[in-house]
Amino acid sequence: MDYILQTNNLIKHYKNGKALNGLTMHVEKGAIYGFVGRNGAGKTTLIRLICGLQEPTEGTFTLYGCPNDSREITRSRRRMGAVVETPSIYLSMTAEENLKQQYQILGLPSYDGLRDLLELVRLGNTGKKKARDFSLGMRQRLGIAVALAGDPDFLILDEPANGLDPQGIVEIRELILRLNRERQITVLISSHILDELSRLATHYGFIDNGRMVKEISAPELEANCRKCLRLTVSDARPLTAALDKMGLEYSIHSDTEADVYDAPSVTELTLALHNAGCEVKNIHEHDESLESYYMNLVGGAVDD
Amino acid sequence: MSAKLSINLLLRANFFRLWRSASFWTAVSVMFGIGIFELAVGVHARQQGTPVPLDNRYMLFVLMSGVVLSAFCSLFVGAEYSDGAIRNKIAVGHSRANLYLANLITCSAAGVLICLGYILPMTAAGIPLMGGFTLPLASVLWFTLCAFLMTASLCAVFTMAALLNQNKAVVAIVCIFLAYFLLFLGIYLNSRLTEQAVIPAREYIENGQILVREAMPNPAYVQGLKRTIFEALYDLPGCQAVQLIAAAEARPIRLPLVSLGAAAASTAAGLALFRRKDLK
Repeated sequence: MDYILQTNNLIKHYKNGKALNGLTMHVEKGAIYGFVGRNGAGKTTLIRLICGLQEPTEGTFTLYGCPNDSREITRSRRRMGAVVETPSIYLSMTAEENLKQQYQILGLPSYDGLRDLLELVRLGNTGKKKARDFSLGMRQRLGIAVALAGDPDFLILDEPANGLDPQGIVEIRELILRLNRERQITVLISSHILDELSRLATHYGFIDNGRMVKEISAPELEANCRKCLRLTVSDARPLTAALDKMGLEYSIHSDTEADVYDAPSVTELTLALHNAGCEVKNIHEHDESLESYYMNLVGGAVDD
Repeated sequence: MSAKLSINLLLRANFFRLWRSASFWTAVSVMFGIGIFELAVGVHARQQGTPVPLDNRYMLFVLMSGVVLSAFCSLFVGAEYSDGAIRNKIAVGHSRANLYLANLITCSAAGVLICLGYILPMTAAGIPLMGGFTLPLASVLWFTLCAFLMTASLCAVFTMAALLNQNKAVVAIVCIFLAYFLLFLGIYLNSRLTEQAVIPAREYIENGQILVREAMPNPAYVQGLKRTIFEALYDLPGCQAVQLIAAAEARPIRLPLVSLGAAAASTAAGLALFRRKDLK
């Protein structure tokens, strides 16, 4: 597997306690990695460590295979763009000036591509308007444009939908999807807005109390979260025979329990099982959303 | 993209921002305004028959520069944190040392430019209106250089404060307070160090009789270790300003050395702490 970012047992102590407590995660190349956790779970701390804003207390991470304690890590960081917490833009400058500033910081030889970048984030017509007069969504998009200035192939976005109105959220989502599909940019998004993440992510990492609780791909999660009928029967063998005969998709959990997908008619299903000599002891609809999946993983309420 | 991220890139970006900075142009305008005001006072005094040499008015900018720079540095460097832009620089691989030094160089250069906001109108209009300097030109240039070095050392202290504390408002208050404190400390030390060692004998008349008071030691005169400490403090950047306005009485070699030493010490300490700082 080709990983852009791998962390290994990362620990970060602050004065008031541990923010990361042995975090291990894997971000695959080309993925949109949804980094899910409640407030204070350690999402932003991890991003700060990756960006070099802070040093881990213990543990290591590799970025493009380069260890964090190597001198070459700065070279790896140049292939990365990040928006940490709030957009990092000078409010007294225009969108164009902010991008020029970032081009200079990166040592880019010319401002070629600057207009395209502004158009990409739909800020091409902001003219001399200062960033302080932008809406939150515009600032967020400008922050992403600044992060994209070095043409990175790994983009880190910390809570990009925070505080945005519905239209702003849609714009950011479309932008992220476009960057991932058209430019093959790997994206790491931290968020606790699960519904929004579920529309984007190809992989998920669930973090709680500074630890990775579960890493899972979107198809795996979808399979776990699919709407199904959960049956408890006397014997799974006649059940599988009957389900095969009906051409239904299913998964067997034990000798007596199975999930049946594709929303079959309950009447037809029970009749077929009865005819196959299988007694249905219990049947109920099982529908797990990303939110309930997360809640089951970490327990407790999700903070807003 | 260049192979190595050098400090030049940060300097170029910083000067790009400086040129567009409202706080920079406000500081230049304030010093320009003060320069014009002091010039007008000097010209008016000459018209009233009081001979005011240009030297007296020329060095006055050192009194104001500390306060103006404290506000400018805390706002300019503080924007790195308040706008979050420092993250862009670190995240793309610039070293913390380069980032620190680039801010220090930018603020020092801005400090000199802000002082020039006073010096240029004072010399351009002052020489024809008030006559030339009474001091030799080489001395004027030397003391101007001393003033610039003091400015740079103050910038080093303010830059350190602004980069070690992420709260722009707190930094601004602390820096402005420090600038005023150093200035008033300099004024106080000047008054104490210029006390005469002996109160001279004098004659006075009491009840129609001429009496003589013998010369006596001045109890306010500072001596011994206390004087050594006071003299050392008097050379500190900020306090130096009081010496520099009376340029002819200032210590021309010691002042720039103290400025350089203070700048080097604060930069070394600031760099060591900034390297270990958890940024947000």
